[in-house]
Amino acid sequence: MTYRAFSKKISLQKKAIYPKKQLKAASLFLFPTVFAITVSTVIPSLYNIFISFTNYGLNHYFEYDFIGVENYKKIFNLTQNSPFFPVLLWTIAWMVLSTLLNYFIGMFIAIFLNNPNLPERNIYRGLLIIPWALPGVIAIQMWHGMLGTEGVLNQFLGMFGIEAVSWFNSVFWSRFWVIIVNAWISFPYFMTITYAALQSIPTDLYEAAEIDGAGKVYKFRKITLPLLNKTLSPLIITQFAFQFNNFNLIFLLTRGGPRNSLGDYFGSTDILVSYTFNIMRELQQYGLTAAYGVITFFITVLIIVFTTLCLKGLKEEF
Amino acid sequence: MNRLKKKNIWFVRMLAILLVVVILFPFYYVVLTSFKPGSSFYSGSVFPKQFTLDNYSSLINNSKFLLWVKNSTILGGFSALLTVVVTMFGGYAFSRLRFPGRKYGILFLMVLQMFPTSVAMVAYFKMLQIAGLLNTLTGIILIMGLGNAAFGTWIIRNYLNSIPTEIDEAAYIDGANYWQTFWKVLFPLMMPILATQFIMTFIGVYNEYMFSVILLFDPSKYPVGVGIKGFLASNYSVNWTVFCAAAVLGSLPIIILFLLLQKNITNGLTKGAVKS
Repeated sequence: MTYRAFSKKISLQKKAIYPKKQLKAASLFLFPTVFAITVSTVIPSLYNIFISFTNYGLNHYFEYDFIGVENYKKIFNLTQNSPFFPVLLWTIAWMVLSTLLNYFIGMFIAIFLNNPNLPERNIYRGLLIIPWALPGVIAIQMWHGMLGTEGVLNQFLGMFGIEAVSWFNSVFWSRFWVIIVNAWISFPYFMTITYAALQSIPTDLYEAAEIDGAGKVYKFRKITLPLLNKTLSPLIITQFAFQFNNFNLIFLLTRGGPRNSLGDYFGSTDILVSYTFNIMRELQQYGLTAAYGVITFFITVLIIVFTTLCLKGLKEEF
Repeated sequence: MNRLKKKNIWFVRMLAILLVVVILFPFYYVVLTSFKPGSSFYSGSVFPKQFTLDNYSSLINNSKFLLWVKNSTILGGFSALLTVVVTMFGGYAFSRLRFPGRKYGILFLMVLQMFPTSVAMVAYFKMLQIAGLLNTLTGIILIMGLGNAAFGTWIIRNYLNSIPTEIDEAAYIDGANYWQTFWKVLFPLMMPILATQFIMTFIGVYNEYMFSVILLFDPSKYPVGVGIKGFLASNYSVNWTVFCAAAVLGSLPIIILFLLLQKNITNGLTKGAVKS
């Protein structure tokens, strides 16, 4: 066979994989999705990058100029105490702490309730789902009220003679409560998926281990835990990205506070997204807001890439 | 030995009940408070002796609550419909059709669904301003409905992958084209995932806060989640008991929807990750 005939054959084979009719159908069927993604994600993101290079804002509302990387310089300015670095540090701490806490609490409760000797275990699981079933936007505000100075928690502590604590005026307690309330809302999700993953572990693995004389702890460490981690790790990546930008929880629970002084536009629980929101609403410097948005976007990408590389469980998808 | 085991189970059972009580206490407390007389935090003890429906009647009669519920329903319903209509075609293409760049497309979708749309808040504001859609529900419906496309396509594609291809191959052999196969064969089979997708988007939009605050200026256009903040955050009076009534009424439909579809939602979220 000559080279030409061979290459022709190859190209024919390639064409055979994508028949023209199928290509035409594919482009028609893909159109709505591609259109939606372009209009709602791609164009706004590009437009946001453009705005981040301008001084668009309250003082330059109708006519704004291209000011290059001034906004970025402002953000990364170390000498003028840019809030970017403390906020970023807390955002990452918040993301890691709350994701791991939610994951382990959910996993622990799922394993705890997966006890075959408890015939009513499904009732407990059904009840424990309620915090997840509540609309978060309402549940978080509920907690905001309960943790108020006159809220139920302080009334409760008062019964034991403990003086009312102003939770949201303390840096430590604010940070403590955003993480706890987040765990309260998110653990049922992890409980549910852990439970689903537990059911998918073949029982003969345990039987085989038992024949080999493995104990309970050994079985858990060598069978349950690795298989759970393998199936659940892709969901952790999504959780990391979600918690990194969990605006509702921070903003509705503490409004990002407490703030150091009146002039500040960020508080100790502000994460990047809620801080960006403050700049837009309070400072009304839209160019700077956009620049923060661009940076948050790239950090989110980094987090996704980094966690994906760390947790190779994803690889099996393809 | 047997007695020891029995004792052990009772210990586990007590622990489980304690866990449920502690975790559900806030929920129980808010429901209880919504029936309490008075309006402030100081309204008596944690466990009231009197019950009243005053909070509910003042919520319905003296606030915009019903209007907020209507707004939330419009926002959630139309966004969800938009998402479902947009994504079912794309999900089909990614699951059943072969085209160049398909593999990268799937990867792109997967990564894209994790991106926060909130980072481009200024761009959305400006774009809606240009389109004349600021302070309208339509603007938010477009952002939420279309912005959910990547996630929706990804979920529908995963669901379709679990349906054997023999079903549509049989239709091709009978001479149906892709369009006919989609509507006549796969669409009826997709109903469960489309319903799940609808409910999930509805709940997602119901929980949305940031865009509603940025893009709506008129309190009578607020959805429930934004509207009820007024009961807590106003400087003059904190209307805690009315807030609790609003929280109960505002949560109830979502809880019911969620519990009805819980199994489907869990399946939708975990499909592709948890293989059964």
